[in-house]
Amino acid sequence: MTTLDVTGRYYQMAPAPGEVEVPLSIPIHASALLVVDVYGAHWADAPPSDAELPAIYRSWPDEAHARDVMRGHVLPVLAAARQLGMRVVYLTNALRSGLSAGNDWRTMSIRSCGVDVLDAWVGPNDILAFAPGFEPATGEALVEKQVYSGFFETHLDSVLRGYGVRDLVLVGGDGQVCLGTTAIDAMYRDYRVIGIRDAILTGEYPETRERRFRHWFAMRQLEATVGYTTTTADFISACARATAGGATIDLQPGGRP
Amino acid sequence: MTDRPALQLEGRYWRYFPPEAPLGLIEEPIELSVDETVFLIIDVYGAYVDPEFQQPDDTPAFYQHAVDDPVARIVREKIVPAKAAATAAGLQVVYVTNYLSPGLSEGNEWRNMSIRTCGVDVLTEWVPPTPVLEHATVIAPQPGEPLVKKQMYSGFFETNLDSVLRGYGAKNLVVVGFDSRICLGTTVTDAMYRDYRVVVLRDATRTMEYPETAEGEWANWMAIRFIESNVGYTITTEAFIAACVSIAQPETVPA
Repeated sequence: MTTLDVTGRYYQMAPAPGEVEVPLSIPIHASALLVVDVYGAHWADAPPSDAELPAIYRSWPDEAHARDVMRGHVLPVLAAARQLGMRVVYLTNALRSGLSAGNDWRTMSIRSCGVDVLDAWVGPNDILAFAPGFEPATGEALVEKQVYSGFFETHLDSVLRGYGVRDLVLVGGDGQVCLGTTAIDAMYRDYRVIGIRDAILTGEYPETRERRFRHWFAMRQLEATVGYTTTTADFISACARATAGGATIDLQPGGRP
Repeated sequence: MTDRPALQLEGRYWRYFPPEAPLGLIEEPIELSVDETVFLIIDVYGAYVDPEFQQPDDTPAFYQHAVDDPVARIVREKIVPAKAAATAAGLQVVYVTNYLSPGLSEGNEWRNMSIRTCGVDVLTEWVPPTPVLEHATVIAPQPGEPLVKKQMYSGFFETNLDSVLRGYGAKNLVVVGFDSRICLGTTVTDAMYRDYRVVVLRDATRTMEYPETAEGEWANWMAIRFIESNVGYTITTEAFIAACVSIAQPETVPA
């Protein structure tokens, strides 16, 4: 069995609190790279004007860091996974048919984000479009979701079971919201979760910006209550070792290898 | 429907926009019909909440509690009075609590994660009867208050909670219990997915802090902020009780 061998980090709460690193072997045939919410024309190398978008979709307060995560980490992880032949599954937001005006998530989004998804998310739009380089490649499943978790009222679980996936490697965003809740729901369903912590983007509150505390907190949550984290460099090195070792991933279309 | 008046509350939420200088916290009036609101109590288990409880010597470290445990204090001083007020106002009470579900396998990822991070093997530690999962007398469910059992964090995952709540005609949930970033936090997030309006009593919940967050209780701060920015509203226990008292029949108001 060909494996990706990385160092996984988890957080032990008891009896003695602290981070612990362990070797993890990820069977490539039984794993997938889950790419969560990397949408947005904004992430293009030369992004289009965002002047007409709702304020929350314009530049990030720490734009240089956000772009480094998305372009400097997510894209290389994607490239390494594809070169190895690892399954890649996309999860992304969409305006689903039938969302009612009184829906509590819709009204919460208006209240907290200043975004009415019934208007702003009507496609095509630059909010939910993929920037060049971020689009799913041919043959990579794209699962659309309405709320935060990718497992709520979607066919994500069926897609993953169909591929025989046991381990999920996660990149994208947001570390506490969509990616964070999807990771928890994955653990409920018996998937082992490994988040690539520097290829995950988390929005910050004003009180947490200086030290990126919300991202730290989200990764600690992953490590303490869900699964493991690793790094982009570790994942890419593991892909390179697997490739150099003669790994040839011959996945059967739509089925278990 | 009855002609009982609705609960009148000032719900607090948080605004993300504009990103460079978010508008932040704000309160707005919210009205909760008594007939469409359930008082949801999450994970208030633990016989140790009763002051006279004697902790067995073989209690796992994760479940050992100090005499002045803040969770027990919140149960006794916030949740018990809030439940009494909710009952007096005519709200239906529903409990959600952890248990060991039949058929949980040794290889289950959640079980292994619990061993790894909490030092707890639920296949042995959660076998009933155990004081770890029992309710203290002071907060035990009463007749007519359903108890929904769950295995994972969220009260909605593979349970009948949604059916129970729909059966009561619930559209709003007033929520108390633990823990604000895990079981309560994931349950209220899942409630919002299912179109319930969520109001959490922010001083009737708490979370386990990490060493880095203990000073200032930043993990709980983050949990409350998440609820206010991504799920629903928060209010204080005092405000909730006052709202309940204002609509309760005089003979049902607790002393």
